Amino acid sequence: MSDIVTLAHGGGGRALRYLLEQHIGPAVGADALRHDAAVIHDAGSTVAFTTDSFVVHPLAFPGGDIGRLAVCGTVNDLAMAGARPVALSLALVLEEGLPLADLDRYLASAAAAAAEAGVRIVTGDTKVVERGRGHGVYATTAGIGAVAEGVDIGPHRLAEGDVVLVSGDLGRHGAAILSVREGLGFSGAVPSDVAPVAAVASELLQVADVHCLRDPTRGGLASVLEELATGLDILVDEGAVPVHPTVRAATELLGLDPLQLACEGRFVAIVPADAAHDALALLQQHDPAAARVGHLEAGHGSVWLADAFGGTRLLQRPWGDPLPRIC
Amino acid sequence: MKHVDAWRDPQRAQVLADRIAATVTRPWRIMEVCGGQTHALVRFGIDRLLPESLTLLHGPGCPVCVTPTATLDHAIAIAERPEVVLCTFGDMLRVPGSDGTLADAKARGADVRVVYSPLDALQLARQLAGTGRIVVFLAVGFETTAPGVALAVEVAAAEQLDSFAALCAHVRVPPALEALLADPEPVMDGLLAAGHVCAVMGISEYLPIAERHQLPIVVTGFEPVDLLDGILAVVTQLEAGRHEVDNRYARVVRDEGTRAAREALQRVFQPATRDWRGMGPIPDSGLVLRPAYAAYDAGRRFPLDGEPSHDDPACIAGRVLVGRAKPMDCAAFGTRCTPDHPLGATMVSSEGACAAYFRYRSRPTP
Amino acid sequence: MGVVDFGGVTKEVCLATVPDAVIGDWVVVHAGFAISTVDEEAAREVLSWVEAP
Repeated sequence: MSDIVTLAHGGGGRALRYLLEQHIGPAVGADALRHDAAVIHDAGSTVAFTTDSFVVHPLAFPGGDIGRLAVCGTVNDLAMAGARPVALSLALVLEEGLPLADLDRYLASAAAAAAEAGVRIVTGDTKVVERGRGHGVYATTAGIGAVAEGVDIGPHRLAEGDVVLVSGDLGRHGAAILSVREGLGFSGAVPSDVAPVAAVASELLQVADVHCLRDPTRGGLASVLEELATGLDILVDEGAVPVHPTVRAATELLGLDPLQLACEGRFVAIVPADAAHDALALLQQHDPAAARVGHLEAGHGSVWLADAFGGTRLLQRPWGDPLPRIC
Repeated sequence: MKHVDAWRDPQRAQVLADRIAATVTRPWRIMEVCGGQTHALVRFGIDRLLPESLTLLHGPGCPVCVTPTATLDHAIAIAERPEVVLCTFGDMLRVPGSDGTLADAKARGADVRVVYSPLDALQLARQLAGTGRIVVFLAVGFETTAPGVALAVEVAAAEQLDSFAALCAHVRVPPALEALLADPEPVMDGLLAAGHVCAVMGISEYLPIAERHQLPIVVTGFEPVDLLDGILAVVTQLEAGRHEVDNRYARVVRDEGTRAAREALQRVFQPATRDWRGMGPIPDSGLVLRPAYAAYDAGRRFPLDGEPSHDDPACIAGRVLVGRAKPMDCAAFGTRCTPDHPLGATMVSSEGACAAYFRYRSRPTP
Repeated sequence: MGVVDFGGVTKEVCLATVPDAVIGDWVVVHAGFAISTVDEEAAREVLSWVEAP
């Protein structure tokens, strides 16, 4: 048999059956192949539902690959809604010519990430497109999660005086992708932070009153805060934002802003002022780099960065992607 | 640089700011001609640390901003050729041409790629050698950037690469300064000279300018401490009635510059008249490839024909670039014109004055 | 070409314009080229002159 993906594999016939039984099933679990739709019994009465597509390039990067990213991205979105991730679907569009060994690698990463996150991949789909039309792999994951009674988090709960916390240092994923980009390539950067954050988020919900959670993926912290700042201003203390020295060095080298670089294993938590101490303590147990970076004030919906010189400047999301496709 | 925190130390900055305040007795206007300095001055709010009588002016120091629209139009026309891969620094991608940007051309199918260095374009050209495709590198920049392009062109010539060419739009600072100073009502009293341009070229070109125009010129770096140190050196001269060239960035700038870089420029480029946005054509202010390198000159291989270029009539970039207007003087500033939908180069370039004032405006006190 | 350390991340940079640079020197890099070396002595001199009170 060939060692690459061929158009026949996407044809719905025996070649596809072979791909499913010899490659996809063994990685994500045979259950996922069994029915057109999975029936889930433990989702509870309030369900969180999300989807994301992944077009990251290159497919593998320091710290992870598209398989890990696709699972973590959706798991983390569920966690940001205050949900316990329960089940994922995994839809793949494969490009003719993709080595099966690479496919196996990404599937194994996805499976490992799902196990780490305590979530099952219960259904999916596989298609193949002609060489030149697919850039290797495009992945889409959708996920459902169970939202416990009484949990109600989201931007509607933001209030003046709330404190902004981050769960760890920022920009690692963006920097990792940059480091393997042709032409920009540099060595020594820390690997991507891609990881599931659901367990930490869940613990946080139990320990403190949380108003809102967001994960700073594309566009980084700047994007997340700009989106959240509706009707209120968010003030960020530039000196308090944790950034790993090599991420900072990479951004200085390339003239980028670490606050606009993606993270795939971090989240922003906005909590009332009296919960900040306990919330931060919990986050720091998991990652000592977690930090309090700002607070909310009355205002007009802008995000201001306060620097060491006593000045403030507008923190904005980037116009487009300063990088190649990163998630 | 391991000391960078020291150069950004707020306490040292305050020491210098205090010394400046103690030195100044009259109003003075100081201009800088380096986009990186414009950016840093606004970002770190240096003007907030200075006495009111000191006015900081931003000059034509952003190479992206001073590139005329005609050059952009030329680059876009070249990029639209199916055999061309146009490589450019990221800043040029969203600068408005007469009819759209390079990013728009890319979206319509032109092969436009952002590179960090002309060496990346050269490497791509090697990969495409003999395929009939040609890499055209959009070479904008001052004397800081030009040596790298010179070396890339020399290598391409040595390797006889038929797949590499450069569209040269390099500019030189001293002729632009002379043009600014030729105005009977000069806009500045003192000048901060661009640290990295001088790192390459040294200070010799500035000596006759200081003398002829009785202008103190201080070579200055980019961090807050460097900028304040440079400003202090300028006001010290102004108060004493001196007009010398003073190198306050000696850790990077040797008086004679970087010889190997200057020699590369000499071998590959020659001066020519160049059109500057806001200032019109200035003799000897541009660098063009010497005839020996004609084969690598994209301007010659793909001559521009077609409609004359035009700018948005609301855009005052030309006046901003010569220090005659501040970005906030523009009716479109922050409303019709923002970094998301810029009317002119000074709002889209990361080193443009309009972009700097837009990005770094302070939070209004409630 | 040489390898330059940017504070933890390293990248290849063209050193043709600074032929006298040796390993351990600090350089100013612009668009993939070193355009000057940094004189540590001169740096220290300025910093000492601007000590905070």
